[in-house]
Amino acid sequence: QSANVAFGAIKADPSLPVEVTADTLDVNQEDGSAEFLGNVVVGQGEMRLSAKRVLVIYNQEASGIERMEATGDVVLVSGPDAAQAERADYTIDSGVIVMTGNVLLTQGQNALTSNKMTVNLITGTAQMVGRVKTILNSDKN
Amino acid sequence: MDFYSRMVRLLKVLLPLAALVLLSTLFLISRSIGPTADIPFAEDEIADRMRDQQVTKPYFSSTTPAGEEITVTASRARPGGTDAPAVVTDLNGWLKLADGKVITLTSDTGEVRMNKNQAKFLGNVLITSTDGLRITTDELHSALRGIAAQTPREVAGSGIIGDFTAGNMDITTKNGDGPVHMLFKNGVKLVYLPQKSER
Repeated sequence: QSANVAFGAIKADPSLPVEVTADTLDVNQEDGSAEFLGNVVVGQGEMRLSAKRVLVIYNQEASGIERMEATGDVVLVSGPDAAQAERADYTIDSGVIVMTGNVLLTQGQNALTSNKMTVNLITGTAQMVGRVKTILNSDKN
Repeated sequence: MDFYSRMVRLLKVLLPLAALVLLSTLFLISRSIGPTADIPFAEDEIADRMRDQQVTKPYFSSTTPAGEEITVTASRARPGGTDAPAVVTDLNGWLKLADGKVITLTSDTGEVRMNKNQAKFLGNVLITSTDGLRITTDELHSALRGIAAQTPREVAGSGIIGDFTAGNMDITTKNGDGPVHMLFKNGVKLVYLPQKSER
């Protein structure tokens, strides 16, 4: 089953510059692939995606970056909401982040877990798919 | 004497005279080719060349067992002593990788130590790779008989991936003869502008 939730305070603009900071950047000369290693933080506007490793995939005409594959305790923060997963694929042009591997989404008080979550930064929505469980803690006051 | 013979007699005089005039203009009025034209060396360059030995257009190349080729050339080199390095100007280096990709290194001046298998690129060093990466730094040390180079200080680079700066950079083959990697270390900051790829 799936659950749709709002994600992120404002609608992100995909044409904002993407900043990446990391310990090292490894560019393999043979296949031209580039990989950031060591507490990598990818930021764009409101969104911050941090992970151990981020692999950069170029588009067909090699004129820009098509998507980034973040692996290794991935944390995505946008506005008040935060999500954790084992892996996240961020396609820059479409502003879609697909998080897989026991995803945990926390929004204020409640938390949702699932196998997969697709976040669309532009529309500010997130769709959780596969064994979605929510933990609603009703506050006592 | 009819008109014809008078004409012939007249021409017999005029034509040789005209020939003489033509011939003389050939030598008198033509541009003088100065025998003392200036030789193509400036005064101080001659003194410079006289002072110590000098190699113009030195060329060095070596091939690694993995098939990578390293070529280093310069416009001028002043050979060093046993411990002093050879000082070169306009140093260019090409690291031709096994699969045809080339990393080019250029700098204003450099120091080459053949015995220590090291070439130092000094003064606005520019490193470019075939996949469009351009890196600038102020100093780079490169091995001469293998693909291994590193920059002691920070580098700034740009390419399809965006513009970035890094603490320093290594060009190494990770495990002996594996693929060649450009490793940017000690903190990397990168900015990528998406609209660049907007179609």
